[in-house]
Amino acid sequence: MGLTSGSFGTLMFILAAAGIALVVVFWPLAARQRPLAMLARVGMVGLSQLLVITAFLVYLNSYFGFYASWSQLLGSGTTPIVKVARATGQDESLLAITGAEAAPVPGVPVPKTTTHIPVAEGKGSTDLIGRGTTQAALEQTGELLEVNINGQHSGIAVVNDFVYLPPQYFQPAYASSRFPVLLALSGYPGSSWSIVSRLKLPAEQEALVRAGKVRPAVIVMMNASVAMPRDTECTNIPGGPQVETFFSEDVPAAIERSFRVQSGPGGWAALGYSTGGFCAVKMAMLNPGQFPLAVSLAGYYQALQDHTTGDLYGNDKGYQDENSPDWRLQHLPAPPVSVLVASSKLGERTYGGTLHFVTLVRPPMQVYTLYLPQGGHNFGTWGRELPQSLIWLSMRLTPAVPAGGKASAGGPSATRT
Amino acid sequence: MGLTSPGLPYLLALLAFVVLLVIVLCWPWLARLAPLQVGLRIVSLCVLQALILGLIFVVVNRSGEFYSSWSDLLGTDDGGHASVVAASHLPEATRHQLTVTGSATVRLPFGHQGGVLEGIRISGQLSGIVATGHVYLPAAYLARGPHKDYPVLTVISDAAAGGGSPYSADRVAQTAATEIAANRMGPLIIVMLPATVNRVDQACLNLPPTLPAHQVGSPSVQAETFFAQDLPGAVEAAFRAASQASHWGLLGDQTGGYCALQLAMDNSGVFSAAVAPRGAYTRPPGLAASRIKGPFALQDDLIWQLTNLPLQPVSVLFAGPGSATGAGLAEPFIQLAQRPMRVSTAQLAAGSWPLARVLDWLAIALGSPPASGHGQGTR
Repeated sequence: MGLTSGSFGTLMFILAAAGIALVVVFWPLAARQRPLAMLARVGMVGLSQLLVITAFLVYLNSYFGFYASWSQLLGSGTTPIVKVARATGQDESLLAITGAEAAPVPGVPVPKTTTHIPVAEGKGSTDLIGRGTTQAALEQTGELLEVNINGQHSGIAVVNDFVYLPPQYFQPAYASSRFPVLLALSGYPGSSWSIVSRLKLPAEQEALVRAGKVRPAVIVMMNASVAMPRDTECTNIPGGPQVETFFSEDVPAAIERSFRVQSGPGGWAALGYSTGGFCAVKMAMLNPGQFPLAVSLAGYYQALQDHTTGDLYGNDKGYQDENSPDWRLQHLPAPPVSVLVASSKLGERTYGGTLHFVTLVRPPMQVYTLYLPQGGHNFGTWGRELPQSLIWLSMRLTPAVPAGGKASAGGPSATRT
Repeated sequence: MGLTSPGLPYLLALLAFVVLLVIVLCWPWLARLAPLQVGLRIVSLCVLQALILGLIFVVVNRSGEFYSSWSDLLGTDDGGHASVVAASHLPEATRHQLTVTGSATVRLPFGHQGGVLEGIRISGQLSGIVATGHVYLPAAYLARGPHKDYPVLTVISDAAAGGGSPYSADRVAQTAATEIAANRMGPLIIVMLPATVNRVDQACLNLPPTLPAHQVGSPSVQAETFFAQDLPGAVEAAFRAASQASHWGLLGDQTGGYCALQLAMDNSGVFSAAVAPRGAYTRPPGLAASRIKGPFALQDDLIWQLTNLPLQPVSVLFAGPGSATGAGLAEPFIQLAQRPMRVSTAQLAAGSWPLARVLDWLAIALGSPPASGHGQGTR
C-alpha cells in the first residue's frame, strides 16, 4: 500500500481511532490499585498515542510531499542508490510518458494524491501527448504529463516527474512555435508532485498568463534528489552519480528532443525552493550556457554535507568549495547569469545567507532580490513569492511567438523594476 | 505565545505530563460504567493526544523553521508586500574573450591560397584562465561569397612553434592548408592551444583547489571549464564557427592526447570527435597524476569511465606516436568502447606531414568532407 495513498492514510486513521476506542472500552481492566495496573494504564495510553502519532506523521508526509513512496523513505534495499544505466543505446528513449491528464487550472484545487494520474498505454513513447483529454480541452487547460527520464550522459534514470504543457502548446496559432522551458526543482525531502499540488506552479503560471502578466512556457517539474532518500544536492559525485550533469545536460537533451521547446540561450531557466533553490543557482553558475536565468526561493548558497547527503565531494574540501556558489563568487570569475533570490526577513533562516550571497555577486552576474517581511520555510511563503518570480522570468525568457504575430500576453505591461 | 517561542514546547510538555498524570491517577474513578465517565475517558485521551501531537509539531517546526508564526500556519498572513529589487551593479562593458594578437599568411607552393594563421589570446570567462595560442582560418573562410559557419578542430599540444613537432601550430596549419588545397579535406577552423594553462600541466581537468599545485601563483583550478565552456564560447563569438557538437573535434599529443579523449568523453555535448596517440589512459599525465587521489583518480581513469559510465556518442581515432600500427597500449580502450562510441586506429603518415591523414579523417568526422569524391579516409 502506497505511503501517500489515500487508503493508507485512511487505514492509519481508523487504527488510531480504534486504539482510542479500545482503551476506553478496556479501561476498567486497569482500574485496580496495583503497580502492574498502573503500568498497564501508561502502556494503554502510550500505545494508542503511538497509533495517533503514526497517523499524524503519515498525514503530514502526504501533505508536505516529503517522501512520495516507501522506497523513497527507506531506500530501495537491493538496488543501488542510483541506477546508472550502462551503455545506453541510441534507440533507448530519453523520455517516456507514463501518464497524461488535463493540467490544473487556476482556482480549482489540485487533487492531493499522486495516484490519480492514469498510466497511459505504450510506455516509452512520446506520442501520448494530447491523450489525456480532448483537443478542445487541451487548448483550454494545457496538459500535465507524468514522465520518466533516462539520462544519456550520466546514466541516471528517474521516474514520476512532471512536464506541464501550457494551453497555447495545443493552439493552432502556436503549432510551429517553440516554447521556453522552466526547470523547477523541489526541496529535500520532497517530491515533484508537490510542485504541482502544493506550490501550484502550473496553476499559478496559467493564472498569470490569463492575466496577461507572463507569457506561456513549458515547465519541467522534478525532484531535486535523484536518489531518495539520499540528498544529492545536484552534485557530480566523484566516482558516483553525476547528478549535475544529469540536470544540466541530460534533462535539457531529453526535453528538447521530446517537445516543441527552445534550445538556445534565453530558452531555459531553473527555479527551485530550498535545496532546489541551491541547485538552480549552482547549476546556472556552472552552466551559464544552459541556464542563464535562475530563481531561488529560500535557497542556500553553500555546499552542505550531512547525514542525509553522505559523502558528496570525495572527501575533498576543495571540491566541496567548487560546489558552493559563495566560494565560486569569491574565487572564480563571475558567470554571465541573472539570478533572483527570494527569502523573508522574519521566519527564514536562509535570510542571512541570502544577504551574504547578494553582497558577493559581481558583474557580469546580476542578482535581484525579493524579501518578504515575514514568512516561514513553507509552500505558503514560496507561493507568495511565485508570481513576481514568474513575471521576472517571463521578462527575460525568449517567448514563443504565435504564427503571424507578436508574442501575445505578457511582455507589454511588464516593465523592468 | 508565539508559534516559535522557546517556551512553547516546555509548556506543551508540562501540560501533557499533567494530563497523563491526572489520567493515570483518576483511572479507577473513570473506570465506572457511567456515561459521564466514559465520555470523560474519551475527552481526556483526546486532550492528551492533542497536546502530544502539538508538542511534536512545534518541535519539528522549530527545527525546520517551516512556519514562522500562527498567522503563517493558518494562512492568514499575506507576508506583507515586497517587490523584486535589482541588487547588483550594472554590467561592465563586455570584455573580449578572444583577441587576435597577430596574423601571418600560410604560404603554399604555386601560389595556392593557404589561409592565415593568427595568434590569439583567450581569456576564459568562467575559468578565469588566460591562454595564448593560434587559430588557423582556411582560405575559403576568408574568401568572398556566401558566409557559412565552419567546423572547429581544437589542437591541444605543448609542442613549441618551430620546434619541429608535427603538432606545432605552424606545421598543423601548413598541413591543413596543403590538404585543403589538394582537396583531400574540406575547410576547418583550427584552434591551437597549449595543454599547460596558467603554467600548470593539469591534463585539462578541473582540479580541486586544495591540491598543492594551486598554492603557488594564481589558482588554475578550472582547466576543463576553460576548454569545454570558455573556448567554444569565445571562438563562436569571434569567428563564424559552427556551434553543434557534431562540428567540434579535438586532437592532441602526449598530455594533449589525454585532454582530447577526456574532454570529448566528459563533454559529448560539446565535442563529437577526438584523436590521440595510442596510450593506456588509465591515469592523467603530468602533475595531475601525482595529485589526484581516491574517487577523483577513478573518475579520471578513462578505462574506468568506459567500464562504469554510459558510453558517449563520440568518434575516437588512435594515431601515433610515430609510425606505430595496431592497437598497442590502446587495446583495452578499444575493447571497451562500443556504440554509440566509435573507435578506429590509423598510422601516422610517413614523410614530412604525419598528421595529413588524421586531419582528413577529422574533416570528415566534423562534417567538412572534401568537395569532390576523391578524398580518402584513413582506413
